[in-house]
Amino acid sequence: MPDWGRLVAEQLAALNLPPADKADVIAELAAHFEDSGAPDDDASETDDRQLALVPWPKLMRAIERTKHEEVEMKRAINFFLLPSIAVLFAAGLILVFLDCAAVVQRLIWTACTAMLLWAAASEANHFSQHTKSLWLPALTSFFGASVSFMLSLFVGMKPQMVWVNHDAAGHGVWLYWPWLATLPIFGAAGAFLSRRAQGAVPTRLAAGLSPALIMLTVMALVLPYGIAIDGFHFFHLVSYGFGLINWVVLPATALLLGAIPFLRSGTRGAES
Amino acid sequence: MTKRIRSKITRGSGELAILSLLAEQPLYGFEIARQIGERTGGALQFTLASLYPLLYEMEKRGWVEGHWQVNQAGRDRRYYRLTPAGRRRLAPLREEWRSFFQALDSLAGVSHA
Repeated sequence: MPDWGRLVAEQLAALNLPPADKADVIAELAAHFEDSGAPDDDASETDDRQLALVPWPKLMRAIERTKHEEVEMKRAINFFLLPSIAVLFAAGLILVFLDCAAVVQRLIWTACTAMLLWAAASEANHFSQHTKSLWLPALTSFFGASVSFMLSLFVGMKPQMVWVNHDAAGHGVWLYWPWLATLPIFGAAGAFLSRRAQGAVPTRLAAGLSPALIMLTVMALVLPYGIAIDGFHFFHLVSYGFGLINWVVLPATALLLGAIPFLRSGTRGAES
Repeated sequence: MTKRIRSKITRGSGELAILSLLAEQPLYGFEIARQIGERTGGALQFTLASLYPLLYEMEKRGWVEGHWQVNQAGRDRRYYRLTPAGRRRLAPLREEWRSFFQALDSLAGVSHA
């Protein structure tokens, strides 16, 4: 049997891929020739004819185009998207811990999110299906909800405080009605974008509810911080529960209202 | 018919053929090409140069997943299997092609041609 691995490697010598990927491609194509089964008696002539039938330069270009996109996609996610999200998340946590409501800090936060969203959207063609159907729609929904919250504070809208008791700790629920009223739009946007990228129903739901899910994660991280650093008395369980209602339950309900219409219908706008 | 449209039809039919085949069982490249040729009476045929770029593209999209495995003859082959995303893609793709043929049939009576 001819050494198809060597023969294919010679044809694909100029294939510009990382060594491991290139070796995989060569082994796979060699196996294809092997299965094609050239008889042994006139092997060398048949080998040459079989090799000559393949448009190698065209095949190399097609493989490089596909595999390079894959490599670029991995690089974009590993070196750009994930670190950016981590930095953004860390910045958010710092804001929470500083308990700072400065306008400049909110602007920085929103600008960072906008830049991340813009950069991610410009790289969208290189992202995987999962990124397109979950992470980008989720980021869009989160960005919209952040901007809406900031704008509502900019124009001076104060939350309605519903007091539950009037003791020293002053437990209560803050109702940001104008902001909550805008959230169905962003829930709908997240779920719609996810549906357009062929996301399954749970993925659309997660994308639509992402602002509330992110806040839930932040709250989950705040709890151990409160216990370890400030002592549990400060992060009183009741206050924490109200925090969950303010920042997770109520926003999630509003977001869900917008997302529901896009959970019912099937996938649409499938790209082939 | 322009080259672009022809290319899209060829590519779409190739995706449908591969996804349908892999929905039945995982297969490696040569077997995919052989079974498609055999089961369509030679009407659809893949060459090495048309098959693998399409498989890699579908793998990139997350519709199929390749892994090395020993075949019945004891040789290492890269088997492709359908992913959940590929399974989800198959149903609307079938529907698109059904609609396409119905539309063409109502216009040109291709099923009676």
